[in-house]
Formats: sequence, C-alpha cells, structure tokens
Amino acid sequence: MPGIWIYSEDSTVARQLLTAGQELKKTTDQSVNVIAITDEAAQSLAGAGADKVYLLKGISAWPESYAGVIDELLKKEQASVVLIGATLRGKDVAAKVAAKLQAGLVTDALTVQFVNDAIETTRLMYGGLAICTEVVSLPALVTIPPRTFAEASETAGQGEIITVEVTNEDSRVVISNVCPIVREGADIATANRIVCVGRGLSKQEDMKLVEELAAACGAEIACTRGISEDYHWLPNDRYIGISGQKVKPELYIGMGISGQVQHVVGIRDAKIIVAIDTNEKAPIFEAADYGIVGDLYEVVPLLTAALQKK
Amino acid sequence: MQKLLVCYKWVLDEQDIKIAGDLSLDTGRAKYKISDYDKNAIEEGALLAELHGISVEALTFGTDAVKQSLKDALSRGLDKVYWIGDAASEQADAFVTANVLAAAIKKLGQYDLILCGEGSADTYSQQTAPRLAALLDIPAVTFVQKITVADGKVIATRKLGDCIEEVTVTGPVVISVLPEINKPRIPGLKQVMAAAKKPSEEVKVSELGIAAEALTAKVRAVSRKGYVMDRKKVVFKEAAQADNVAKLVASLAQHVLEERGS
Amino acid sequence: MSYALTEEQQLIQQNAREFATEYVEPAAAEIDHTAAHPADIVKKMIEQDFLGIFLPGEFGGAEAGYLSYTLIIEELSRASGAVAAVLLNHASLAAYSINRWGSAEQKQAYLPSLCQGEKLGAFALNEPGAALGAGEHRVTAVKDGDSYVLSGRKCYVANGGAAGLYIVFAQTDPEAGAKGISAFLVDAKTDGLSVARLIDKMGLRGCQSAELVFDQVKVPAANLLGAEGAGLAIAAEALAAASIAEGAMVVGIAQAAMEDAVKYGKQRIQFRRPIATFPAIQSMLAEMAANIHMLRLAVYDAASLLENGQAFVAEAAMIKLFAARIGQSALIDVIQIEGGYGYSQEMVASRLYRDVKGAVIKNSSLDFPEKIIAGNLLA
Repeated sequence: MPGIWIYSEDSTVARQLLTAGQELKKTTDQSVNVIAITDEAAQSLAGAGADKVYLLKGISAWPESYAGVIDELLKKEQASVVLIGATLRGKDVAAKVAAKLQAGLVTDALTVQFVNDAIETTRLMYGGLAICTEVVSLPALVTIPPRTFAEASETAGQGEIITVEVTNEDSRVVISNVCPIVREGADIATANRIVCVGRGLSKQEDMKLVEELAAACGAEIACTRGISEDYHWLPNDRYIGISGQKVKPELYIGMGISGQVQHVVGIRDAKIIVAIDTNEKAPIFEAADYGIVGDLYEVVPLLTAALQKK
Repeated sequence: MQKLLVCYKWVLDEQDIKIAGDLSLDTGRAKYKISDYDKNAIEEGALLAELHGISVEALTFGTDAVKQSLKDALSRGLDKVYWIGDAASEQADAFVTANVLAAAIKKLGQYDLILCGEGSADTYSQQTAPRLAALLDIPAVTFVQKITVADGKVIATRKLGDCIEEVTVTGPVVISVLPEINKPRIPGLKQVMAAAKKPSEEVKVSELGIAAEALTAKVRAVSRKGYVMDRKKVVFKEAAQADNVAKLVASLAQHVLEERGS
Repeated sequence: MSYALTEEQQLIQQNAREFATEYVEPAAAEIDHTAAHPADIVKKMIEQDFLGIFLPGEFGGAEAGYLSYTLIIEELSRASGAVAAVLLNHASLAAYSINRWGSAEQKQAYLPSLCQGEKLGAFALNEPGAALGAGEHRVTAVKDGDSYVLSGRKCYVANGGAAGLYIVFAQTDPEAGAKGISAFLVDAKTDGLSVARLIDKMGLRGCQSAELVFDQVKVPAANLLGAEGAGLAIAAEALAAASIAEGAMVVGIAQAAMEDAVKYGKQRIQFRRPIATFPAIQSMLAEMAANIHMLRLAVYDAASLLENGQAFVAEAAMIKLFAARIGQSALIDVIQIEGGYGYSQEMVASRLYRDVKGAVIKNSSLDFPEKIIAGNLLA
C-alpha cells in the first residue's frame, strides 16, 4: 500500500515532518505512517496525527543501526515518499536506506510537493549561491532540516501503533564513549534574537561592545566562521554559516560582517536582518532589511545606549 | 590494515560562479578543483598511510575533465589514482555516483578503509559515503573528526549535533570526514614534480557491468537559479550616526522590539 | 614556444598562492612594521621546497625550473615584497651562481645546505664609495698560501646578517681594474666577518640590508668561485637572472595594488557614483592592467629562455627597464586613485608603493639595462 512515511530519531523533528506529511497527504490521498524507535516517540507521534506508527524494537539503541530494518519495512510496505529529518544521524540513515532501495534522495530540501506522480523539491547548492528545483521519481526519499515545518500538535488525533521486533545488531560495530556536547550558554539555533560579530572587530577585548549590545536587546551572541575557527574568540557552536549553525531569529544584528554567501545562507530565515559595516558595497547590505554604513566602534555603542533607553 | 582508498570529486569552484541579471548561473569562468572536504579525506588517507606504512589510493568519477585532477591528487600523498571519466556523470545524482563507485571498488579489490569527504562543495548532498557502504555491505561511520587505527580495528570519533560518540569497527568500513579532522598540507614542490611519475589508471564504466537503470539518475534538476533574498535593503544615510541609530530603533520598534526583556 | 603553463606549473602557482594567502599575507604588515627578518616564514618556505626551486635534485633542489620559481616569486610578492626579496636574493644571486659556476666540490659543499634552507645565501657586491663597474673595489682579496685574506666593507647586502653564506666580490688584482675582481664563497661565521649595521629602508622592509665588515677574513683558496678575474662577469649574469625575478616581483606587487584600487574604486562613491565609473580612473586602471599583463608575459618568456639554457641577458635587461617604468607608474596611479586612503600608512597601497621601488631600484652600477640592450643590439 503506497504511503507517505516519516522518520527521525528525534521525535520533535518527526512531529515537524508529520506536518509536512499531512501537507502532502492533501494532494494525494495516501496514508501517513511514522517510524519510531522508542516508546515515548511512538506515543507522541500516534497522538500527533499519524495514521500508523511502526515502533521498531531492536536490541541496539544506536539509531544508525535501524537503517537496514527501516529499508526492509519500506520495501515491504511499498512506500512512495519517505521524509527523514535532516539531522546528522538522519542524513546517514536516509542515504543507506536509499541505497538499499535503489531510490533517489534529496538532501536538506526546503520545500517538498507532489507534482505529476513525482516529488518536486527545492534546495540550495554551490555553498548557498544557487537554489535548485529537482524532481525525484518514486519511491522518493527526502531529508528535511529541523524547524522547516512547525510541529504537529500532540493532540491532533490517535493513530494505530504497530510494534515490530527487529534484529539490528551488527557485530562489526561497537559504540562507546558517548558524551553530550556541552554548550556554553544558549543554543543560538533556537535563539529569538541574535547579535553577530565578524572580522570588523579588531581584538578580543572589544567583545565587550558586542556583549553590551546583546544584553541591551536580550540577544544571544554569535559570530562568523573566522571569529571562532581562526581566532577562537567564541566556541565553534556560535558560528553561523554554511558549515555552522543555521538560525531563525526574529532579529539578527550583524556587525563588521561583509556578508559572504557562506555566512548569509545561515541567516536567511531571520525575520529582520540589520547590518552595520564600514564598507558601503559590502554584500551584507544586499541581504539586509536595515543597514547603517559606519564604524561599528562608533555605531554599536550608540545603538546600545538607544536600546537601553527604551 | 593494508589498503586505504579515498574517493574524491572534481568540482567547479563555486567562488568563480557568477549570477547573471536574470538569475541564471554563469559558470564560464569557473575552474575546477578537488572538492574542499575531499582534500581533508585525501590528507587523512595520506597521514594514516604515512603513520602505518601502508598504501593509499584514490578513486574519482566525473566527466573527461577529471584527467586534469590526477597530478593534483597524486601530489597530495597518494600512491595511485583510479579515474572514471564518463558522460554519465553529467546528470549523475548520488544514486548513480554511488552505484558507479561501488562497482569500481568491487572490481579493484579489497580496501580496509574507504575515506570520503562529508559532502561535496557543489551539491553537498552528503550521501556518497553511506550509500557506498550500504552497496558494499560494510558499515559506514559519518561525520568523523578523528580516526585511529589500532589492533586491526578502526576507531572513529563522530561529532554529531548534540553529542560525540566513538565507533569501533572491525573489518572494512567507509568513513566520511569533517573538515576539522585535519588541515591539509600545501603540497611541496617535490611532491608536485613527483606526481607525474606516479601511476594513474582509467576504469571504464562499460567494463563495470552496471545495469542501465543504475546509471540513470533518480533525481533530475529542473532549474538552477541564483539565490537572492528578498529584503527591504533600507540603508540609513544621515550625516550623524546618532540619527541613523534613532531611525533604526524606530523601524525595529515597529517590527520586533515591542516586548522588551524577552 | 608555448606560453601555456604546464600542469605542474599551474599546480605550483596555485599552491604558492594558497601559501601566500595563508601564511604570508597575515604577517605582511607586521614584517613591514618591524623590518625584522621573517624567520618563521622562511621555515615554512623550506617545508614547501621553496629554497631550491630550480636547483638539481642531486643537491636537494626541486628541479621545478626557473619559470616555476618566477611564478612563486610573483605569488609571494602579492602578499609581501620583503618575503619575495629574501627568497630572490638567496636563489637568483647566491644559489644560481654556485650552481652555474661552482666546481663539483663547491656545489656539493654548499648547494645542499642552501636547498634545505640551513643557510640563506646573499651577494656582497656594493661598497660605500666604490663604483662596481669601474673596478675600483676597496674590498681586496690578497693571496696568502692556500687562502685569500679579505679586507674592507660592503654595503647594501640584501639578507645581510640573516645569511649563512655570502658570495663576496673582491679585488684580487688591483692593476687589472674591472677584470681583476673575483668572487669568493664566504661562510657567515668566518672569523673577522661582522655586521656593522642594518639599514632602515624605505621599502622591502623585512629583507634585511646590512653593512658588512671584513677584517682580515681568511677564506680557503678552494672557495674562489670561478676563475680569478671572472667576478664581474659572474655578477653581471647573476644580476640578469635576478632581474627576471625582480620583474616577477613587480608583477606581483603591481597586481596586488591594482586589485586593491579596483576594489576601492567600486566602493568609493563621489558625485553619487562609484569612482570606478569615471573615465579618468578607468584610463589609469586600463593602462596598468595592460602593462602588468605585458610584463608578466615577458617574465615568463625570459624565464623560459634561462630554463632552456638559451641566452637571456638582453631580455632580462628589457624586463628591468620595463618593470621600473610600469611598476612605478602603476603604483603612482594606485595611490592617486585611492587618494587619502591610499596615502595612509594603515592601508596596503602605501606599503606596495614603497616595495615596488625596492624591486626596481638598480642594484649596482652594473645594472644599466639600456646599455646592455643597446650593446646587444649593436654588437
């Protein structure tokens, strides 16, 4: 029975994909099924509007070890579209499943829809320089970045939970030393307001300027790649860019940032982008809603003072 | 641990690509390069080969243009490069690429460790390594920031969004590496001059016994346009910065700053 | 003759650009500011096999050819003329001379350490108050048994103080004038050889320029380079080889300056448009672009002649002549385009202006390109 299938090892993301699945369901009357690998996830997703939830119970808790059983299930059920969360684990599993199914897979799709019995997607390529529209023949797999869709409400309905015992151990692989990455401060990926600093800042001592502005508008501090990777003035999880964080704040204020495409691709979802830079012709001004051409050492303190007054 | 293989891609340098007025892409002045993260994979292969005294070879699939990549690749510490230059790569998606690479690897022999970059600089689909592993029926370890070889096993440290994990694999494995795994050395002159003397070998797609269906892309590009954001682009140009700041704050108040202290 | 670079040359050029961007550019302003010899960068250049680029493999050279060498000089010059000058004086003057005129023993004794960068090379040619071509050298070399004893002062020794090996030009036969000058290989640590002072220069700061004192410096007779009396001929040809590389330096410096002016011209708004749209600015940019292009081709050509063992001295002189003209005019125009911004010491253009002068300045009274070209023409 062809269907729209959803999987993410992260149940929050799976609930977001459920929204996407429901959208697809509108144009093609297929059931929306979710694959879960934990009890809690299964419960949550069943309540969020999935028609069926397949709870895979294997011995190995390593999410990647489910790739083989997921592909068997999808083959058996003749899935037509598979949406997988584009977390790092999700991308890993999606590609393995796609290979076994000898199917096409689009990574990090921004949009996904049914068009003429195939799936049409859009995604960025060339480091964020270009946007590409692609058509994938069925069965089609698509990985979708977290927070692309809103989460389906946890009380949207009650689907059936089908438990499947599976064998997912692989004696060749041993997992060990799993340590959470400790974040210093908040996760900028979910921050509502962000103040971002680039190479326009001359020295580390001047970060104080940035901190004061961030405090004045209740924002998290982020940076461009050079500030963390080259200068180490901020930890790596603070840099926004194509190989760093992608953010979706209400407000982004960038200072001393030229606005190269590799950085801008990480802020494109911001509601309002403000830029402060000395170079009138800096690309950041093409990417901003509001801009001030000037020396950040002059402008930022003025801005901080003005915000503190409000 | 005897033989290492690195898969690399010869791509257009995205820095050279221009967006025309009508948003079409102008690749006329674009030069080719070894995809950035593949350089990290090659460097990792070279470092492991040097450390353990073993051989490291490379495999690349592209159009005829890949012939220009051989000396570049061989100057980076590789012993030999196998190249597949075929028109099929023009429209190839990750599905086709993985099918071709897997078939070639099956023909070339047993490799203990296959290294790939995390994703290519042009399409960044991040699929090649896991697909390859699935087709070869061996484990894949992706997003790796450190590799150690000990007691015939490969220990790979992965850096995932919220955690770090160590994966130990016995037997052949495919690993995709993060750019932070190493800093590729710039090849010295002697390495560049010696590249011409190192072996390279063509592998023909027609000799790999791949079904036509497996060479036909499942994902087809319909359009590619320059990505341009639609922003207000208001720049405050008063003589005094204080005035510009005032105007900025006023504009923000309308949209964003209603709730202070949130 | 093909002007297309080989695959190796293209890779070498690419790698040199990456090296210059990664390691030289970030240090360039500081090197200019302190004028200190860039020992760290030299160490990194050794790792890239830059110290023996065109020298034979049997002595540890990379055998990459003189054209590859000029490509590297150009790339280094884009980032720092001083760094390029350090390499140029070591390679085109010292290493070239030993490779060209050294005996088998001398090559074996000195080239490996030059190629591996254990020692930097330098020429000690000019003297305070003595004209080189006139053969009135005051640094004398007096034969004493199986040694020569050198006495006198040399000035403007590039890499002076940092070098491990000097090729010193001294008067062995005062009666013979110009034909009585000989070249000697002198180890920097030799007793009696000292650095009197370092000269604070206008540009190419970082390529140390020193005054050397020879106080009864005893040099083994085996260290005579070439025959007695051949000194001036050796210097003339080595300077010609250096002229080609100096041309590459000018190409690199002028190219960097032009790109800076272009970037500036696109940004700077006057009368509501970027100044790059004004014909006056465009004329200046067009002129320098054409000149740099021509000079680059001339450098490639002369380097190829040298590499192929063909006569190159006249072409090298043409490069010296042309580079001085177009290099200086390009930088004058760049400073003008950038106006106050360009004139400021904080910006890169003013350093490039000072450096290009150093690259084209005639090194000695032997450096008379017009005479060399005319001499060749009228022979």
